[in-house]
Amino acid sequence: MVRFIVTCWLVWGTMAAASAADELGSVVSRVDRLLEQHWAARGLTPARPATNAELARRLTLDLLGRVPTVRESEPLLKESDKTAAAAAKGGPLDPVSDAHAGHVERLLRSAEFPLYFGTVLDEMVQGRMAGNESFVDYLRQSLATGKSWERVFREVLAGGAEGESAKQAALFVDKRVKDIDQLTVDTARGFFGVDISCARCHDHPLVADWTQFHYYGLAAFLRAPGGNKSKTDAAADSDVKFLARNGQEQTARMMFLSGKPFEQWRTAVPTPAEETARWSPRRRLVEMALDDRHFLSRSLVNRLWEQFMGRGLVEPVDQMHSSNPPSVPGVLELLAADLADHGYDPRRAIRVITLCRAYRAASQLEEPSTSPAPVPAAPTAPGPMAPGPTAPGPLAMPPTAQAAAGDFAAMRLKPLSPRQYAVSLTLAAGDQAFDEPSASERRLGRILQVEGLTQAERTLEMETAFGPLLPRFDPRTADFQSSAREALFVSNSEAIQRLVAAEGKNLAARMAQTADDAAAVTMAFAALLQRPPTASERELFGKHLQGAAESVTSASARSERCADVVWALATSAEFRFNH
Amino acid sequence: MASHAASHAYHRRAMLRGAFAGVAGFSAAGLSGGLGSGGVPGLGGLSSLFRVGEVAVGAAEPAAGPAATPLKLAGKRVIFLWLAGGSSQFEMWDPKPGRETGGPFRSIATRVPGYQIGELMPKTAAIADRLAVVRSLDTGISEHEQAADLISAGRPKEPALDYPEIGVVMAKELAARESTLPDYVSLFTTSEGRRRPRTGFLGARHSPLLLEQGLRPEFVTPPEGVDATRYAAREELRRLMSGRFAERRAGADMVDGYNAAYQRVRGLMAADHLFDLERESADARERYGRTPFGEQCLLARRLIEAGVPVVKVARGFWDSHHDNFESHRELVPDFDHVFSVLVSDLAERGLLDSTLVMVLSEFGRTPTINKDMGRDHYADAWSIALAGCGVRGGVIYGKTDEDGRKVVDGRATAWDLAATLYRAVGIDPKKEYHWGPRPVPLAKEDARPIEAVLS
Repeated sequence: MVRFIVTCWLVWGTMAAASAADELGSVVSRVDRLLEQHWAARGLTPARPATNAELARRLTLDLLGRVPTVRESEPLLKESDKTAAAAAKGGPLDPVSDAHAGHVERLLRSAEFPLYFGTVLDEMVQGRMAGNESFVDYLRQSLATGKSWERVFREVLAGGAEGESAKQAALFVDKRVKDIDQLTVDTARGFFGVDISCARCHDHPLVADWTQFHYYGLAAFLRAPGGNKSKTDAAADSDVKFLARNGQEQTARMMFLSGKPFEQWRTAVPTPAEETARWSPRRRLVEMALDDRHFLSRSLVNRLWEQFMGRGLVEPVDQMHSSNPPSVPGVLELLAADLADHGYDPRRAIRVITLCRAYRAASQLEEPSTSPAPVPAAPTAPGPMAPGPTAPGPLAMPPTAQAAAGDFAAMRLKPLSPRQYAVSLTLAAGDQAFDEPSASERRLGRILQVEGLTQAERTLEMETAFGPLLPRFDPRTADFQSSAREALFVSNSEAIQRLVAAEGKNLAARMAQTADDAAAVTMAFAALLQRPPTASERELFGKHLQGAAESVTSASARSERCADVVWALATSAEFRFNH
Repeated sequence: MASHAASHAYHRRAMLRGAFAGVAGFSAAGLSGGLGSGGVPGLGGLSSLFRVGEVAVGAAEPAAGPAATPLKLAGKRVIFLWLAGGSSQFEMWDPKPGRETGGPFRSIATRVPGYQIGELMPKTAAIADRLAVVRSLDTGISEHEQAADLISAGRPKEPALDYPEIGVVMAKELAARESTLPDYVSLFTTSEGRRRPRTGFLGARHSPLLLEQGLRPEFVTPPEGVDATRYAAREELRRLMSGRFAERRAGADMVDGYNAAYQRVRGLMAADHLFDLERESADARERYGRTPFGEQCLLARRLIEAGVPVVKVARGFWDSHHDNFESHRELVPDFDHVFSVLVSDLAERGLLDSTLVMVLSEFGRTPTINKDMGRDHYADAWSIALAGCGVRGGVIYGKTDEDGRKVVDGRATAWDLAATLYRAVGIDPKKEYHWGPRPVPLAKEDARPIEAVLS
């Protein structure tokens, strides 16, 4: 823990010197302009900007992996009416509020950020093999110490990390080294955003970019054992032989995805030939990829965009090739170049994305009442779809309703990951000890100038405690699908019932002790949804609580009803999704 | 040697008893039990970032239309018996009595003229005319996990594409759209070789209902203290809140799916009685026998009859590296009894024509008997059996050499088998799903169904 604190503190010290706010602002406006042009070209009106309270919930989930606590959201709730009114008046390019920009910086500095975001990077890179604790901790430490993505990439594939983290970083390769195909495919997907697995057996049928030479050319870098320890020129050893579709044996030499063979590339770089000859095969791949810049930076930026927007600029995120262009022109290139220009700092890309207008858009589309367009047919109507192309008259939808997910005109709902859901549920329904540091914790935080130490430590404890429960929840995927398994577990398990039932100082218990029904309902909404109830919601839930007053055993009946309110809100879509 | 073998035999019996005892009661670790090991599957991988679409080749139905289950699939059911660990073809479907590789058991005649079956299977011999046996599988992979993946999915693994298992695909294809019943129920209550059906790129929505702790599903009864009224009231609050929230949201379709899952919970809880074997007649219970496998198969029949399209029953302990003959002497008669009762019961109830019963393993066992009187893993020449829907009864397909070492006639691959199974229940093996931009046929491109066993 102490080491964690110290490293965090070192990074944040250097970041205090950041005076490039204007420069960051100009990149954000360029992204905004590109999106505005796209929306204009498509005749779309973007959704209104989200309120500060809405943004705070979204951002806390995206950067810390949990909903805001009552303490955190209380100040925002007080001003929510004001900002909602102001936001309603805003045009498509409303400036970033100081509150939001400040919030982004505060959360990126929090000790909770590396803890959570390490798991996000782990899933991006590791794919199906995600979840190795040591590797996750390596990524966490990298984030905490402000390591660039360039360095992470280098350490993971070619070694060079210091001390214990060298072993942790090497796990990516170590776990795959026995299966060269897995290593080749996963390296291409995790770091370069391309899936070249088809090209193992034949030139890609749909994508002209990928031939068998691309696949085996990449495999040639990865195949040679020894990695960075290799002392001699191993080029000859690591040629890969494969059978082409026509049955002819072919030899692939090391070649990067760009199509450039290593031998050709090395003659053009200023590095002395004796030195490049000493590079291990994987080191060669790393140097070529960093010289190329495109694959590494575009992949990371696209995956981060997907993480924050619910959909990549290029989708699927590992199908980045010439026949699958980004849905909005220009943004990906801009962000990728900006990332590479800023030392591949993931925080840089996160700042740009979270400040841009598309991220700040509400998740609710405009009321479709402005045009004479009829309400779409009721979903229960079993009739056949209207045949053929329809005239744009009677079936035309208002512009925003036509916006596709890839237009980013409104914030698409993002299902919480199992981890986000479990942590958020535990926090929101629990007592308020999570962000209640002890006196010494408070003092330590002040000395080290670190926020969120207590929360980070408690999150780590939670992670261990309910790690085994995570497979009960549906994974966050682009095409999220809910299973009855999760619903059964959440509805009927004692584990969830224990979380929501009144006990000690948890939410249901605090509600039960509140005599005023309206106040109890408001308390539940604040803790779980970070907003006040609407009038009709106050009435609906108030009525539910009142039912208890008529009961004979009213004290325990009221506790039960409070628990049921907590359960209903915690399982509502508004809680289950980030919006 | 003899005493060595005897002690192993005892050990295995003890293990079997232990496993049976485990079935009787719920595990105390119910909440976190059965979570599998290694990794956190729930966190989802890159593979799951793909959209899954579906296109029926040559069919004109709209991709997302609420079309009813096609007529030829209506009412088709599947009971999938999985002999985990690898059962021995020599002691069951393809005996080689008198040969060095044949072991101590004799073979007996069956109702199919000329077809001899292992002597441990007299009851199956009597219904052999209802079965199709494939004795010529050559599937190559003889490591448990990889082989189980291969046979279950019917195709080799690909690093970047996670295929759904055949049972999952069948459940998706055969399910009635309006049904509140689970599409797929998977029973496996022993720990050995436990594997959950993989939904692959089809995603969590197609996860089977798992019965791992007992014969009744987990979490189908409300938590203690929550009665029906209370339960309904809080669910109503949840539904109202979610419905309101979904209005005009970008991505509201996900909320619809989310709410639909809670709707299905009601159906599953209402179907709790289906899992109650006490509702079966005493005769039926005695007939199947009060063994774990017997009860599981009775439950499978009960679920099929109620309209659940796919039920898998996995039966462990076939991995007989030691004392193959001792363990098969115990396992095969139990299988023989339950399997023959199941097929006969389905036939008597008029369900056999619409229900495919398939008996699969990850592989067979070696012709060579090892020093521990065991047989090891063998995937080069082994057998499976089918009955019921779409199956031509009395067909014994393919042949191995006189020692059972090689396939000499009718060599079939794992994907040929998959295509055969799909065809049996009327699913076109060439039908394509879409994974991102890539069309993925249900069976591997070069799969050839074994026409001879299809009716």
